Amino acid sequence: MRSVTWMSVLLLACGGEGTSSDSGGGAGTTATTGTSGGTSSGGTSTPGVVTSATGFEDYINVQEDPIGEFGGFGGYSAEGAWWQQDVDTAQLQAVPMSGEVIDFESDDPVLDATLEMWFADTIDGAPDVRVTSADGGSVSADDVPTCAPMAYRVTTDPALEETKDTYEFHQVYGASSSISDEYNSVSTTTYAIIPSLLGVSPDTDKGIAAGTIYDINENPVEGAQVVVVGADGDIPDSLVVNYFVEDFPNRNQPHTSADGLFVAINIPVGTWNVQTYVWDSASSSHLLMGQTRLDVEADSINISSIYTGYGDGVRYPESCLVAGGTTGTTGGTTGSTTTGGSTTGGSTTGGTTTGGTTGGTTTGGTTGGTTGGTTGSTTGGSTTGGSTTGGSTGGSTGTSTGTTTGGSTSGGGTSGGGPGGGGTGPAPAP
Amino acid sequence: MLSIGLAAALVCTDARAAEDDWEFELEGYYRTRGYTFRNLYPDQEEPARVMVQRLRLQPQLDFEGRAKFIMMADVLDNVAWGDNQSLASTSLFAGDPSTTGNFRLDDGVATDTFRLKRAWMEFKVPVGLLRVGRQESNWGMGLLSNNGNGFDDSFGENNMGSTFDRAIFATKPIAILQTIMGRDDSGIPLFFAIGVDRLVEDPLFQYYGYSCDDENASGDLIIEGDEEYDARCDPNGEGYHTLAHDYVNDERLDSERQGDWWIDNADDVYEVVYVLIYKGEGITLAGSAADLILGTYVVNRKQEETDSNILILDAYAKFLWKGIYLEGEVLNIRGQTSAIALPGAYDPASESSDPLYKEADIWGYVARVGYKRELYDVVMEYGYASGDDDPADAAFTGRPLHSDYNVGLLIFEEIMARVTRETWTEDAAGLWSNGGVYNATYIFPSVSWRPMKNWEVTGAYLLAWPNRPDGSRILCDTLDEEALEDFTCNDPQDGLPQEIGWEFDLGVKHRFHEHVLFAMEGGYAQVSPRVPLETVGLNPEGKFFTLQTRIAYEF
Repeated sequence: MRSVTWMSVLLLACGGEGTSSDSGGGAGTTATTGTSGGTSSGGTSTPGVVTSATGFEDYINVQEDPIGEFGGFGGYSAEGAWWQQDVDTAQLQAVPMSGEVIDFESDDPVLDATLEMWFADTIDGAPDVRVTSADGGSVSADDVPTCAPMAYRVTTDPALEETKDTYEFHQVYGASSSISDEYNSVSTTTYAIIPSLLGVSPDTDKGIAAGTIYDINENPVEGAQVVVVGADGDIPDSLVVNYFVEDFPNRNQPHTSADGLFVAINIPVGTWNVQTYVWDSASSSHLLMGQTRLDVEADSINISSIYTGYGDGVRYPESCLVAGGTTGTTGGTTGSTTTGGSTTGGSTTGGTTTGGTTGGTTTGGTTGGTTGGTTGSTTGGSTTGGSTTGGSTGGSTGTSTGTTTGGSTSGGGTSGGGPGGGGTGPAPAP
Repeated sequence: MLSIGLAAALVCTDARAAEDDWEFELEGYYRTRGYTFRNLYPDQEEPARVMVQRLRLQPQLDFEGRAKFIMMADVLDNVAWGDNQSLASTSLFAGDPSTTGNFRLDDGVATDTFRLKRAWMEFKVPVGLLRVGRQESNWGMGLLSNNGNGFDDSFGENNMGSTFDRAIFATKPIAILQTIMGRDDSGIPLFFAIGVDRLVEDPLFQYYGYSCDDENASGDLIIEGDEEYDARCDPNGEGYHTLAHDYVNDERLDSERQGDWWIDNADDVYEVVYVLIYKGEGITLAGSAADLILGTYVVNRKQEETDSNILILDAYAKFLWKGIYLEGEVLNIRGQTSAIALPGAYDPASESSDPLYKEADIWGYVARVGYKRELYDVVMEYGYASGDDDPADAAFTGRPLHSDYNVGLLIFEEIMARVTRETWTEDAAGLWSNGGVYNATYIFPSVSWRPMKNWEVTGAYLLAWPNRPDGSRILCDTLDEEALEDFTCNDPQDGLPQEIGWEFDLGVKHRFHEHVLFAMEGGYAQVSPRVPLETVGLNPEGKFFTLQTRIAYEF
């Protein structure tokens, strides 16, 4: 019997292992905060949308605040409220790709595997790239775009029944002159053992989705839950969602553990949104924190992670974003707090720069965290921010610094602790 | 049979003590069996046929009845007929057959032509008999320990067989006591045996029960004072993690073993076996001949490295008097272990610090009641093999009955064997049923009729229900949570039938020329939607038919 170590590999790789596909940095440096950036504090100012679909409560029922950094994203509230990313179109280039098709479990190369890529990020029509792995599982192709999401599929001869069709969506390669990546192929063994451990019988007419829930720092979120919904908000009757513990699938785990991993089994063929929710104790409601779109095929495994604040499952590497966006949104990201920012908001999120750290840590509470965050400053909050009087003072101090760094103009001040402080800076992300 | 075999040996050696010469005996058989299956796979339009064979050789060298050396080898062990490895480049011109393995569970790969499975010695000592070596093991009806010898099942074949590296001593305690007291041996057939099995000297898996990272999230070495620091991962006391491993580390290879690979005693797996049995065959009871066998078989298995301490209790009884037939065996496996390298074997609700920790509580039993006459037998069999509705939690409760204890031809022998194989995959091959009764309660009434000498016709009906549906191999119904204690289902279905399925079997057996055995057996089974047939690639209609023929030369 093989050991449990293989499972560690499984799904940890869901976020992609590409050497060129690393995503953006953490709070305070990422250019990802958009219109909501810094406008909310502790997840209390912008309630999320709670689906009222039948059976929703069967999947979304956690009542513990999550652990993670949410950068002021207080949950999706209305169309267009997802964060946007300002992609530098100059980075959209077609470059050569060389990679390797590997087994998801063992990392062994997979020979004679077919890698197909769809640059439109949807499995529709003929693929833009189709190559077959040679010795060592190696694959190569010309003109693979950088800074654009794409979907890929890895298949082997179905007659051999050695692997399952493996899809990965929303893969983005950072700006580079070449791409080097590994493409996962899930073996039939791996595909079978997860439902087996979870006590589920996978329907061969349906598919499996798996991935990781990430916060704004691209760290796994603990305490999130996942549901799969259709375009009209319906939840498939056959859906079974389970989570992992210590990288192992576990039917008794009610929400994501520290590894942030989930698996959704028996998803009917079609296009679905995989949504993640967290509990917000301040509003006593569940907040929709992110989602990703999947085109599910029968008897397949579909890999796509969910990033806080994004409604399409796409998170661009920092190298793909405009420079101004990075600076301009720093204030927004920093200025925001995590759920219940009263404790972790200021201290951690804000702390990415320095303003929030002091504000949140010293003063604690919503005010401190919010203020430090709202300031979005580099040094403002750290000195006076929360340490003195929390919101108002921190905001005041942060205002000037925030201006300097492009974080925010009116983010601080006595009103800086309020919603919208950081987001109203002069150079927010689009 | 462990105890009974030893007991018989004790008796035999007494009887043959007068012989003073070498004696060579060759036992075994050659058998071939043909299988026909209809509707096994969804795309199977015609009955599928395959032939397999086995030559079993068991030579024995006996010196004056006092010391024996015995070997057992299988040649062409369940090898399919024909050249299935393309030894001839053009199949039409195939000449030499290959050694392609059993079609049932190994995907038709080439196997060794010759397999030496057992070799042991046994010799008399002043107060009993000692048997040492790689030897067969059998107890009772064979639910736990089954030597897989011969043709002892009503239907199907023996395929596996229990074998242990064992040293065991057997004696007749009452006879010894009477001798010490200066009395004659009254011949009371009470036997006691104690033995030691060495199951593992050095496993390739290292069981830690906790994981160690050598780097933190930033890629820096974890040092003392870090949140991630764990002193267990700092074996050298250097203040930082020097050891990176998962709960179970399978990175050790036999090719990397050094000269001292065997000295670590903590990773050894051994067990102590105790047997006490009263074997009253042909005794007189109320003026009539009777058989009365009562015995218990106790095993204590340990592995220090994994804090494993397992106790196996097995009791067996048989009674036959004036045609009244009672026979039964019950087993319980209990104890604790951290040695089950089951992927995902982790219970977050467990308070134990060791995520591999499991408590075993496994039950199995079979009871038979019948009436046996020279012309016919009527037997009702009731059996049980406990299941495990959540194999990944800390309670380990499921284990099939031994795969060579055959019940019917299809539901357990073929269907559940394939279902467990496909769902557990090779990563957890230890959880395959291999044809044994799996996670079920069943009844298996049978009638045998012997119209003339050396002819027997047997008909049987099998009806099986799930014990603890696990949602993957046996689906669970929404009503199961009400019907079963401490039961939750991750993916309950509506309207599932209660039973796994039913099956009807019919067999005809004939022995001629004293050594040639012929059997023709057929079975029809209806497997219910409780079993996810389509998921594992079997015909979802659930209606299966088989016709099997065996001819064997037994020597």
